Amino acid sequence: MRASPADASTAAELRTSHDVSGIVTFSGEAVGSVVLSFPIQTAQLVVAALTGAPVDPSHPLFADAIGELTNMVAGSGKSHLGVTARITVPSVVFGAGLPIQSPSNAPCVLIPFTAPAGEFVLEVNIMSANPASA
Amino acid sequence: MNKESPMHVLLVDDSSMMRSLQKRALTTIGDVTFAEAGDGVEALTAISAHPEGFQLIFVDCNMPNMDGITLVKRIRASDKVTPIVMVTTEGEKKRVIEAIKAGANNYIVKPFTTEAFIERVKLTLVLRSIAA
Repeated sequence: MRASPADASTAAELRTSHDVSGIVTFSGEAVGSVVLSFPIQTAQLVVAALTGAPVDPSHPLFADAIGELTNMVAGSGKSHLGVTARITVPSVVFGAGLPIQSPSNAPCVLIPFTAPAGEFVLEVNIMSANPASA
Repeated sequence: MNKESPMHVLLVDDSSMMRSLQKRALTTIGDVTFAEAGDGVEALTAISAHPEGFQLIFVDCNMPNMDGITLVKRIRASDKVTPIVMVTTEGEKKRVIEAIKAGANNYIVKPFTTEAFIERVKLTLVLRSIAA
């Protein structure tokens, strides 16, 4: 399943863009959060593709799959940053427009994607833990 | 794999989805029985509960309570033989080196295809049989 990015935008604070969001937080040389946010219909198709069968959003496996996907995306992003940082075990929240606590006060970059399963948004507010090296 | 004796595999991952994907992949190569753990602490309990041992252990790097590297160290304190495969993300590759030093035998990066996963399993088992 390939996803195509559209133009990025910024927001002053981190908030869930869509219904279901996976959240991973960085600590170490880079601090902040990575959020993968899906409309519920997209999330259901993505989870079905990952698990091989439809999963009801109320089932623990549903949040587990969204969290694991966020973990993989954040892990890949971390390798591109080339920093020594730890990433938390992912958490998943349900609800759009919810504020997300992040150790970074950097502006949030929102990157919308379109995939065969539908649209989703990657939200990132990572910053260097050492401002002098930013 | 001997058809008459199933391979006993321990899957350690806080994601039940990842454990499920690994189980699905492993059942394509033969008769396999599974034990599962959601973190390192649960894994040590599972190992204690299976005195007959496991033929293969998969360990996620990033887990709550006890992470994968700590678990590998704990296993290797008493078991130098059972092959351990680290399951990690692209961003945790540096920690894989740490895990290999601690005694892990191989690693695979998520996301992976079933084919890539099985190839890594076969390679790990072949390398272990050569070393034995």
